[in-house]
Parts: sequence; structure tokens; C-alpha cells
Amino acid sequence: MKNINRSTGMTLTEVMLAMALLASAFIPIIGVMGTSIKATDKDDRTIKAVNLCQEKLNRALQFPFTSISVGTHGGTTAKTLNSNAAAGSINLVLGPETIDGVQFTSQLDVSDVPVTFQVPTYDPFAKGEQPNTPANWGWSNQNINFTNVYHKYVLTVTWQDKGSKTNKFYTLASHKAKIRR
Amino acid sequence: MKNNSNRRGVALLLALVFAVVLLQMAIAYSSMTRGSKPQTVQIDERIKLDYLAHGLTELALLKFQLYPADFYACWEAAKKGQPQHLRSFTINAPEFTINNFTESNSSFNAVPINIQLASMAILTNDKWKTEALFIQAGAAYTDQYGRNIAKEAVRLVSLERKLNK
Repeated sequence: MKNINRSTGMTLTEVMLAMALLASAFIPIIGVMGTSIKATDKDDRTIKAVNLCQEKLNRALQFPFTSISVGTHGGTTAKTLNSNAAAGSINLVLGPETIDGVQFTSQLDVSDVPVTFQVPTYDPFAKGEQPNTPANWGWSNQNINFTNVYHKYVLTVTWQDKGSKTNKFYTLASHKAKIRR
Repeated sequence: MKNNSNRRGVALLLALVFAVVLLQMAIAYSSMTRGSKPQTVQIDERIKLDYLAHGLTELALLKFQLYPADFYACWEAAKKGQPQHLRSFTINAPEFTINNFTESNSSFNAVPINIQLASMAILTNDKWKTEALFIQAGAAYTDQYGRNIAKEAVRLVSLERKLNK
């Protein structure tokens, strides 16, 4: 009877070996989990930067064309832009700010983009004489230059990942024209 | 007795199988997280394209506001079988093509973006006797995997024709 009992159960060595195997299998899993937590934290910061960048650029684009001058706004020094438009006042806060313990720095660069419009012009008298024959409307292409009617808005948000000393940045760019609203 | 002795090492075998399954899960999870990153980047880049395309519709609207009579003449000529002037005013005008725009790069993705006006047209509603200017612009880039990522922005502005006194 004693012999039979001994052979039916698992030996201590067997159980120890099985546990050691399982423990060794868990090591890479824990490693992957650690990496994924770091990646999630990184992604979280990136998403926050993207949202911040979008929010600020949207706000900047709401300002009337002449309200934001050409140049650099924000960056390492905090700056608040204000506009008292007919629709109401708008504020845009630029520079360093801390969100959930992470410091983000936003900077808006506004530059003028000179534009050359290619305009096909026609002769109104020729058109009046032959309204159904567009080929005879006296077409000619004109190139007309403009400055200070089209601005480029580049908004950059910089931050640092946990344990990293290099700056990360996210940039969004758009243009705004001096149009009658 | 024979059956009992056969059961020896079952725990070890089970542990081995379980360990292999766990390892496979870890490998699958790791490859999944690696694959999700390009997706995140792609979503971010679509936002950039949207802003740039929208910026070009601003320029198109400005041109229309500056030269409405010329645009209407081009539109009328296109309706009468001469579309080249309208193309020259809109999609073929050099100011409506921006190639290799790199100023909206990010630290995790730097790609040159091409922006182009797609169309400018007058939409009419005969019932309500109203007109609207339809402007469509697109922005696109080729990502690091060779995929073409594109986004279009559309702008609709109601028009009111007035005689200059």
C-alpha cells in the first residue's frame, strides 16, 4: 500500500520543476507588460500634445487676420494673445504649461506667404458682343502679386518623455487668408 | 501499478505546454503593440492633412473675393464648352499647388506633404434661387510603408451677386 501511494502523487521535485518553468515563462510576459506600460505613457503624452496643438491652432485660426502679427509667439516665454472681435473675445495662451504633471511648451510662428495669383481676365466688351462664343472674349492671363494677404500658422508643442532628456515635438500648420467674413 | 507509473511527469508536461502557450501569447501581444504604432501615427498625420487642405481653401476663397467677375466669366465659358480658363483660374493656377511641404513635421514622423486644389464650382438651387461657391482641396503624402494617405477639405460659401454702383 505504501508503495502504491508514493507512485500516484507528484513528487516535490516535479512540482518544483513545474513551478520554475512557469516562473521562467512569466519573465518575458512581465517584460512585455513593462514595455507596454511605457509605450502607453509615451502615447498618452503624444495624444495630449496633439490635442493641445489642435486646440491652440483652432483658436489661433479663429482670430481675425490682422489680430495676430507676423512673428513668433510663446515658446519659452508665456504669452497670451487677445482679440476683441465682434463675435466675442478670444484668448490664446502660449508658452510653457503643465498638464497632468507633464510640461508642454507651445509656440506659434506666423509668417507672411507672398502670393502670385494667376488670373485669366477677359474683355467685357468682347463678351458683350459675342456672349455665346467664349473663345472670342479676349482672354489673357495676368499674374498679380500680393503680400500680407495670406499667412502661414505653424504651431509647435514640445515635451519630454519620462526618463528622456531629448525634446519631442508635434507640429501642425495651416494658412489663413485676409478674406471678408 | 503500470497505470500509476505512467502518470509520472504529467505536471511537468502540463507546465511545459502552459509555458509554451504563455510565451506565444507574449509574442503575439508584442507584435500587436508594434503594429498599432503606425496606425496611431497615421491618425495624427490625417489631422495635419486636414489643416493644410483647409488652408488652401482659404486662398481659393480669397482669390474669388478679389476677382469674382473673372471667376464668373471663366465659369460661364466652361459652361459653354471652354473649360481651360476655369482650369487656369483654379486647379492649374500655380498658387494652388504646394509640393513637399515639410513644416508640419513631428519628432516621430517627418514626411513631405503635397497640397492641391481639387475644384472650385458654383452650385445653384433653382427652387430657392440661391448660389454657393464650392471649394475642394486635398492634401496627401506617401508614408514609410508606401501607402498613400490623403485627406480632402470642402468649403461651401453662399453667394450673393450684386451690381457695382
